[in-house]
Amino acid sequence: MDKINLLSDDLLLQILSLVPTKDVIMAASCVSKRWWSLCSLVTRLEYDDSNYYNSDSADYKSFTQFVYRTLMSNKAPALEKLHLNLGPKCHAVDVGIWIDIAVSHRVRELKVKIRLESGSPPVSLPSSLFTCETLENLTLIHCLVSDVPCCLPFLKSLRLEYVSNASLPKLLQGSPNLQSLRMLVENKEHGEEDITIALPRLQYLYFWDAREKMKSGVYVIEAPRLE
Amino acid sequence: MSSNMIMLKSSDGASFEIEEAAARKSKIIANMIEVECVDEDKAIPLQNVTGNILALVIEYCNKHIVDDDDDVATEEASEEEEEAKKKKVDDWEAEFMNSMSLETMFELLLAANYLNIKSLIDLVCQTIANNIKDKTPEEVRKIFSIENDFTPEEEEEIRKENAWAFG
Repeated sequence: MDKINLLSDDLLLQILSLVPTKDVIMAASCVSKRWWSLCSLVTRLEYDDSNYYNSDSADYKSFTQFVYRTLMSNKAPALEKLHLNLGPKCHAVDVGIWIDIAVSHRVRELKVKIRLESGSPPVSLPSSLFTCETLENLTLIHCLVSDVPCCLPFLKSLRLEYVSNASLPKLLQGSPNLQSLRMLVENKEHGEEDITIALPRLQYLYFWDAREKMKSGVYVIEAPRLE
Repeated sequence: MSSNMIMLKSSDGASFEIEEAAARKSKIIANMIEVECVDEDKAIPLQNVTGNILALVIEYCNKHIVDDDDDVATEEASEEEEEAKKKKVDDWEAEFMNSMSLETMFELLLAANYLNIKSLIDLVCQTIANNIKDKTPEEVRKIFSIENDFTPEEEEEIRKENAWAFG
């Protein structure tokens, strides 16, 4: 029953990349030297701190150290995905550096979800994210998209929930190959002007507007290929 | 639908008949068909796959070729129907994987890799990954019969570094 040792590094790495990051680091990296070296090559990384939102700052500190160390020691030539599910204690500086690292690792799928305490300001994301040439799939939940230049040539799928959308037109205009867009809008400070955006390749659109009694500031999305 | 049949022969000499459409799930066999090196009267020899594993591969391919046909026939299917169908496939896959031992799974993975059937590779990898989830290193070693080649000091060092994950 030592068949797993017969698997090539490629196959074993594919398996390890499907194991939750916490378990990869915890169990898999301690199993043997071969597993330990493969664990630094996993292509999918998921970090979840959202269950620790009531805990003290010592827990947050060790979580942060864990993310830094595993992200920085990751040697995968291209990161397939990075998921960050963060609690209210997260610092914008840390989030910014983690995303920068992912961008430099040629990340293809990025999901950032920040569970905020009510009233605290949203976390702003680094500008490197919006010029990431490898990004295909982006999900942002409760983050701030600053008004920065956007060029995401390979972005195919975009999901935004409770994202401050002042810079939305720029983001969409910078994503000419967008095929799928899911949006949940809840911005009270939205301007008066209607916004017209052309998305020539869009095939799927889900749009939910939670604003009440808005008389102006309508989105007009031109998408000739919608299915 | 093509009803051409193809013969496959396992390493231990068992012969299997399979529809061409199902056999095309394997990129290797699909390529052989493209370059017309498949003779109708002659079985394709698969030297790295035993009969019992090949039977599983064929069961998987047959199941998924039917699903692909359904997709074409009911293009206008509602979202609920789509979901119901996906659930049916997922249930079948779960049952299929549940019916075999870990050892069989590894052999199936090697066969799927050799035959280049991507969706089957993904399915088996995910199932094996689920067996690693939530386990201690000792449990993982035991399940997969892996020898611990760390010294106690080295293992302690790694565990210390991973303090958060152990918490």
